[in-house]
This record gives sequence, C-alpha cells and structure tokens, in this order.
Amino acid sequence: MSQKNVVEVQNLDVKFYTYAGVVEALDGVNLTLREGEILGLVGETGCGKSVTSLSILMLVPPPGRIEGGKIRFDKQGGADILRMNDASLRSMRGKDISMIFQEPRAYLNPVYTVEDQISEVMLVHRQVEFFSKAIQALQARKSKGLELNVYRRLAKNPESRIGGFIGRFSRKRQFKDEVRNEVVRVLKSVEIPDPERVAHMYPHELSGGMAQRVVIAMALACYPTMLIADEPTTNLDVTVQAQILNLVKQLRDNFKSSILYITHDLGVVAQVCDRVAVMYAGNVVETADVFELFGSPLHPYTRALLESIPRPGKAFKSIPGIVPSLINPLSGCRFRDRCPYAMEICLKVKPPFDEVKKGHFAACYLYGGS
Amino acid sequence: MSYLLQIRNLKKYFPIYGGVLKRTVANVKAVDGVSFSVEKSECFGLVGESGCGKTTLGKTILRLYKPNSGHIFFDVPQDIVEEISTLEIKEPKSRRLRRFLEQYDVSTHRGRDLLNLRRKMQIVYQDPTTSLDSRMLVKDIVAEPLIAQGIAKGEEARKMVLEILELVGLTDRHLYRFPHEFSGGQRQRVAIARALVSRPAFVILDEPTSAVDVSVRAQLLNLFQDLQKRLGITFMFISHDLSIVECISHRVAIMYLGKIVEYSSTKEIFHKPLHPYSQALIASVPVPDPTQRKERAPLTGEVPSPVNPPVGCRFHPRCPLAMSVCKQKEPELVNSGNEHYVACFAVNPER
Amino acid sequence: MTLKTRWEELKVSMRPRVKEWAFMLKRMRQSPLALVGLIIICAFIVIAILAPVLAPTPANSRDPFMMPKDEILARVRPAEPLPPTTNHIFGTIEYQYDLYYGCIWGTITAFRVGLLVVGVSLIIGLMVGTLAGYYGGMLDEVLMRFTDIIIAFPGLILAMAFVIAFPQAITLNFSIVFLVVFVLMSFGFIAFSPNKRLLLVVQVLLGASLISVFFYPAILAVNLSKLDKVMIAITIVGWPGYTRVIRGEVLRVKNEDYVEASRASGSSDVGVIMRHIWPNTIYPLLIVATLDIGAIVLTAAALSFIGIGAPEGFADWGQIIQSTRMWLITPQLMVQYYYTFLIPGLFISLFVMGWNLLGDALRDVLDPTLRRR
Repeated sequence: MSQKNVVEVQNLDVKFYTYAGVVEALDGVNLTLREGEILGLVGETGCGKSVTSLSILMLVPPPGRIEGGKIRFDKQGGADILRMNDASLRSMRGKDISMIFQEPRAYLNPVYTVEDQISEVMLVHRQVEFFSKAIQALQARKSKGLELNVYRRLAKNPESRIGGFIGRFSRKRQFKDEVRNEVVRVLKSVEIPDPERVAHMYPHELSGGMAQRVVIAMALACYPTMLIADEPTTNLDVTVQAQILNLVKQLRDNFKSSILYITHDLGVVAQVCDRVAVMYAGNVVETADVFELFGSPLHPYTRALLESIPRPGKAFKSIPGIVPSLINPLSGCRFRDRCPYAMEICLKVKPPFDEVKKGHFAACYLYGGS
Repeated sequence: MSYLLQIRNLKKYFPIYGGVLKRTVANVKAVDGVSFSVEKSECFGLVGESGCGKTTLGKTILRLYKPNSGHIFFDVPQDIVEEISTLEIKEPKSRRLRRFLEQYDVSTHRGRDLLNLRRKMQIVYQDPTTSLDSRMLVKDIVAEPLIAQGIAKGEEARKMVLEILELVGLTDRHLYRFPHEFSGGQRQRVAIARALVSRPAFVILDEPTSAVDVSVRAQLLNLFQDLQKRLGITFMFISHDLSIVECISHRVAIMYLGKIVEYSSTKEIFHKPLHPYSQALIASVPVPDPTQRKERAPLTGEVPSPVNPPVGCRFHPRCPLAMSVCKQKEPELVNSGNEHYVACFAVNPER
Repeated sequence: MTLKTRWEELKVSMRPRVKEWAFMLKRMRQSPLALVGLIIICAFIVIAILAPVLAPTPANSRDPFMMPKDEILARVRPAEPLPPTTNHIFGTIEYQYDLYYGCIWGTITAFRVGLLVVGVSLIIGLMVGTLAGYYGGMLDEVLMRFTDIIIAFPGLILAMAFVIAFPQAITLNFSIVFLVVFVLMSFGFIAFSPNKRLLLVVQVLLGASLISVFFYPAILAVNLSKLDKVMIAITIVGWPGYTRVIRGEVLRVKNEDYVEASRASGSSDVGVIMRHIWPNTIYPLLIVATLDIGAIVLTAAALSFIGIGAPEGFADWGQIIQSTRMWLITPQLMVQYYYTFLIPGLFISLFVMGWNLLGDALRDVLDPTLRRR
C-alpha cells in the first residue's frame, strides 16, 4: 500500500436550497483516499456520505450546490475536480472514477441487455483501442475491404463526430466482435458464471447478486483508478453479501484499485476496509486505520456507535437524542447535544480535524485543538 | 409447556397465470409445509434470506393470506392438538375431526371468528413510512384497530390510545401530528402502538429494525424487551439480520426456500449450528471485529427460485455435504437432542 | 392536556391539517398562473353571487333566468341586435334581449351546469371505479367493459342523441322505486358481506323490476327543461372518464402496506375504502374534475349553439351566441355585430381558462414528490 493519495477532499461544503430552508449537508469534509486501499465511509442516514461521493463526481443534484472546498484528483495532475470543465469531467467519469450504487436493478436500464449496457460505457472511453484491435485483426486476415479503411480513418481521427457515431452504432462485425469479447472478459473478472449467456440477459432476469456484479463489471469496464461503492450490499442477502465483499477485496488485491466503500454496517467495515472515516451530520469526525478505530476509538460518536452494536447477553445501548436538523444548525460541534463529554467550547466553536495519533484523525476537543 | 401458537404443515402457494385463458401454469411455493410451535411470552426468531418465505409465513399465520393447506392452532390446549393429530391419521373423514377443526383451526376461520382473531394477533411492518397512512393523524392511526374491531370509540378510544403511546415512549404531544413530521424511529413506535392498542397476545414483527438507523435500533430492541416483560406479549421476530435475532430471541428457526431447516434455542443455534445452511449463514454475517476476518465466502451460488425448488432436499445443489439420498428425498425435522430440530440427512442419517 | 369539549378537540385535530393546507397555498401563491386562475374564478363567483344586484330582474318577470326584452326597442327594431348604449351596456341580441343581463345571469347558469354535472359524474365514477378497482375479478371486467362501451361513443354526438331522444318528462312508477331499492341493496351486500348467494337473489329481483318498469302505469311525471336534458346527457357521457382515473389510483393504493395493515387491524372492506383508499386517491380526481368544469361548460355551449341546449331567451352564454347565428354571415356583419359574440365568448373563454389554470395549479401543488418540502 503506497502512500500516494489518489483523491483528496479538502473542506468540502455542500448546501441544499429547499423550500423548507437551506440544508447544510456537508460542512467542511476532509477525506483522503490512498492508492490501493479500501477506505470505508461510515455514518447513519442523512450524515452526508452519499452527497460526499456524488460531489467527487460532480453529480450533486439540484437544489444542491457545492459551495466551497477542493477535491484534488491525482490522476489529473492534482487538478481540482470542482473547477474542471464539462469535457474533462465527462472523460473522467467512468474512466478514472466509477461509481456503483445501492439498488443494482434501479441503475440498469430495463430495455437494454447486459452486453449493451457494458459496451455503452466502454465505447464512450475506449473507442480508439477497439478500432486499433479491429484493424489489427483485419490486417491479420489480410482483408482489404471498406471496413478496414473506415476503421483506419476513424482511428486517426478519434474526435470526429462520425467516429463517435459509428463507434456506438456500428454494425460492422469485426468491431462488434472485439467489443463483445471484452464484455465477456469483464463479466468473467467479476466471477459471473456463464458470462456469454448472461451478456444477453435483461436486468429483470438477473437476481440481486448477479445484477450487482453486472453493475460492478460496468464500473470496471474502463479500468478506473478509483471506484466509489455506495452501499452496494445493503439490499443483498447475507450470503451474497459475503461473496460481493470477497470480490471487492480481490479487486483491491489483483487490480490495485482504490475503493471508497460507503456503508452504515460496521460489520462490513471491519471485514473489508483498510481505513475508515466516520461521518456525523455533515462532518467527518474521525479517520483511522480499521484496527485502530475498532480497538481504540477516539471520538465520542464513534465510541457510542461501536457500543450500540447489539451483543448477545448484554443490554442494548443506544445513543440518546436524535440527529440535529441541518437547517440552521447550531454553532459548535454538531454532536454537542448527544455527547456525554460536551464542554463549554463544544457549544461555541467547531472542533478542528486534527491528527491525534499517527494516521489517526479526530475532530474533538477532548484531544486538544482549542 | 403451554404453546400459544402451533403450526402444522402450513402451505401457501401463489399461482402464476399464463396463457390466453389465464390458467394457473405454476405456483410460487412460498411456504411449503412448515411446522413449529411458539411458547407463551417468548420471542421466537425467524431468519432466512430473501425468497425463503418468512414474511409470507408471518402474514399467513395472521390470515392476511389464506393458507392452501395446513393448520394454525392459536391458544388451543395441547391435548386437543394431539387429539386432532391422532384423528387425522386414524379417522381422517370423521365428523368429530371436522368439528374440531372448525372450532380451533384458525386457517379456515371467517367473519366474526376472524375478527376476534385480529384482536389477538397483530403485525408491525418493516417500513414505517409506507405502513402508516400518511394522510391520517397519529391519533387516528393508532385508534383505528379499536374502531374497526368495535372495542371502543370516541373518548374511551382516546384514553386507550394515550395509554399505549405512553407505553411505547411517546407523549400526547404526538397525537395530533402527521407521520411524516416524525423521525423513522418514532414512526416505528407509532406502528408498534397501533399493533398493541387492542392488547393482542401475539405480535409478528416483520423486520421492524431494518428501515431504521443503527443508533435507533437499540432503542427499539429495548422497547420490545420492555414490552414483553410488562405485557407478557409473545413476539415472532422475522429478520434477515442474524446478529439482532441472536440478541433478542429465545428460540430461533432458520428457513430456506419455504421450509424450516433447523430450529432450537438461540444458544444452541448460534453456538452449535448443525444444518450446513445454518452454518454457512451464520458464518457469512460480517463480524464487527477486524481481527476476525474470513478469507473465503462460506457459500457460493444464489438462492434458487421458489417456483421450481430442487427435488429432494432443497439445499442440495449448494450443500458441501450433499449425498445421493439428498437428491431424492426431503429430510424431515428430527430432534437431534436437546430440543434441537434439524432437517438434514448428514446430521440424522436416513434409517 | 385534557380536551374538555368536542369543539376543542376538533380545533386541535384540524390544526395540523390547516398547516398542510397553508403549505400548499404558499406553493400555489408562488406560481403566477395559479394566481391568475384563482383570481378569475373568484371574480366569477363574485359576479354569480351579486347577480341580482349587478343586473336586477325586472318586476314583471317570472323566471330570473329569462333575459328581459326591451319592448320599446322591439317595436322599432324587432329582430336586429343593437350595439351598446347606456340602457344596454353590452347591447342587445336578436329580439332585443339585454346582453348584459344574459351574461351576468349566465354566470350562475355556467356554475350550475359545471358543478352539478361534474359533481354527479364524480360520484358515479367514484362508485363504479372504486368497486371495479378494489374487488377486481369479474366485477371489474363487467364494470370496465360497460364503461368502455360508453367511452367508445363520441361524447358530443352521444350527448346530442340523448338530448333529442329523452322524453319531455321522466315518468316514475312503482317499479322504479323497487329498482332503486335493489340497486342500493346490491351495493350494500357487496360492501358489507359478500355473501354470493344472497347477492345473486337480489340481482335477479333487480332484473325483474327493471323489466317490469315498462309495464306499469305511470304515477308521477317530472318535467325536464331542455337545459336539464343537456345536463343529464353530459353526465351520462362524462362519468366513465372519472371511473378510469379512480380505478387506476385504487389499484395502486390497494397494494400499499397501510391498507394491508388496516385489514390486519380488522377493518371491513367499507372501512378500508372510506378511511384509507378514498383519502389517498381522490386528489388526481379533483384535478381532473376542475379541468373538466371548463370543458363541460364548453360542451353545453356547443350543444346550445347547435340548438339543442337552453331555450330561447334563457340566460346561458352558449344560447346567447346561438341566437345571433343568423346575423353573422359575412365578415362585415361580424364586425358590425361584434358585441353579440365577442362579449359572451369572452365570458366563456375566461371561465374555461380560469378553471384550467386552477386545475394545473392544483396538479403542481398536489404532486406527491414535491409535496413534503
């Protein structure tokens, strides 16, 4: 695991302008994803984990607006994602950063087969490669027809509109064959049994676990540097979840992918993640190595969360109070009303996100920082 | 041993229509021959994955679906149940059997009898957002069972509603509000209040904590235990979350594809699971302890469709211990000692 | 906090509903078109209420809805419509009926036609649609085929046929009474205890009384004016539309968790329908209904224009335009007699537009995805 950072989210501010008022969904979120690691993003409903992941891809829907902060993406030379133009963003989505979502069948178009959907992603980003492969194959067969010339022209001028059009709707056999082979290869890499048959199936014919694998295949089709997984196993059965978690771990081991794994299940976090970031009400309150977090949690919220895990034979401990409203939030630390250690300063000023121990960050006045 | 609920060979199929004349071409065998008993004032856990039929089983017990066959005996003395079993074997067509079944078997009750049953058996649904009518005030939602069953109305109903709201941890300030003004945990409390207002003896909890946040789950679980102690209610806790079931249930049953494969006390099941499916299921649960990581997924493949379950033991295509007999015959639930029932030929070889 | 009186209880329980309505009104206020619609309709309501003040009925008139004839002018120019003067603010139409009076009292007619027709169609459509949607099966098939048959006919033409074919008076005899009783009984049986055998008996009796209707002598005759016939005709043609809307909504709501929970609590079918299904399904119906009020007034005006609507001299906008048909045969004449069609036409257009805007605004406001902030 190298120390290179793939993505750095710095002081991200996101607000939603709704009828009821301005919801301060994210208030200075700091997150760092390193190369080849699985970073878990844990939190309850409404804490802002999905909004954070959408912000990385600049997909926050209106009435949400990204108001401040930086997201530095290493692959683009440290450029700030929030300041990128549309063309760069489009080339980045799917190719450098991919995302998979919670309900797989909701994110698959029901009228297209699996093959169509995976090839759509591939053709957006990897057209030239397919043209070259097609040209090579045709040259190997010593064919001289129109097809070869068309591909040569398109390979030379990949930006042309006609190239894009033909690339997407091409009926030329060689090109289609190359694409199909690649689709089957990607399906195999996510351990789908009988990939040739599955490629021709429609989403409603797939079970939950298979559909999620297909979505993962779509996300991996262009070898992304980073994968964002937004609660991918929450709706799946326990046994299927175990299989998918294994697959995620293999992706990290075999392909050196960096994965941002969002979940609310601490068990999943313990099994799969290398580092963990805990979010509460729009802030990251603690970030640490997974053994550190479970072994010696620093932030009171993390501690309360770990204590509320039901254990047989022990009484159930819950966190008193409810999540504060994010419309006109109170000053100071957002956990102030539920924290057993709240002090004067916690009510007034928000605690800074400091490195308390090596590699272990927390935003709490219990560890200094006044 | 007084059993509150005894289920014998319950079956519920859902027909699939096909063809021009909409004939029944196949059946989804959601519940396919389930038998077990629930003791008074215990919490009986029912676990399984999606498609195993646990929710259908719960709703069939409640007579929200009419069972295709089988018996449901609610609050019937043990000796009568035994007599009915012997009569079924010896004199299946006798008048006496028919009269007994008419009187005691809930699965065929109608009209007034069914209404009386509703008072004693209730259900709490998984998602409090959809299980509460969003256009009704909390007061009306909780009072509805009283009005529908003719127990009370007006001022008396209001008193009973207030009583039950206090029991679940809400106040009279919550009476005149709409459900969407509350958080998920509070909405679930309203749903629990609605189920308890007629003081039923038996409540089915259909995944009551799945749609709620982790920190609120503990509150609800505490509430269930508290209610059980105070009111002596019998719960049936249906869930796919094994860690919660382990903490709250006294006995647990594990279902797979419409049949119960193992059931026993909680300690027995979780410390000594005998059925290969139970073992795989328990091993698949992600433990919130990073020092205990598993290398391989315990179970491969997916749950087959309940329309065409595998012949013989339903688990045999995925079972690591499958033998030739498993492909031909279905194993029965056998007591493997210590009231630990397992349906598996590897555990209880066929004699 | 104990609430002593029922009145206090009512006030407290209405408070959250009032809050919801206030939120909806606030959303409506934010849409300018909705405000325009609301203003237009309110203006018409005011006109309708103040009609006796704005256009007082002359003393010797028997029916306030018959427009007054100006006898003096009639002696001079018996037929020709005269342009606006101080006596007749909007002018007169053929045979010297006062246009202003006609337009003002026509507002009342328009409301009456629109609200009555839509109201009755709504009730019929609600009943049929709910039964078909909730019970499904054979009942659904039969009811829906019946509705489809009526929808298959072109509405306006069917309405015309009804108006022409309807007798001048409805005659009632004993059998009608039995008919009504048995229809109600069969509804009751379906709703309260689906005892199939008893239902069949009641249906047979219903069929018998239907046949016997034609054999008994009449005992009572109710006279129908032409406008009444038009209203009945449009109602008969109009209710299937609501049926389909309601049936669709009932099918959607029927499968919701809270309906099943209500049945688990022991509610009877009627209880479930009245407590849960109707409150959750009537909103789209209300939207269709408000849009329809305008359409129905237009249909009535069209029928009047053809001549099978209100009688001559009746204060109805369509009738007014119809009466001067003969005078608008060339473009020059149309310009000369502009007031005869322009002014009542303006009334009709504004009325219809007002209801349409209101209906659109309602649809936006009641959109469930945007409803809760």
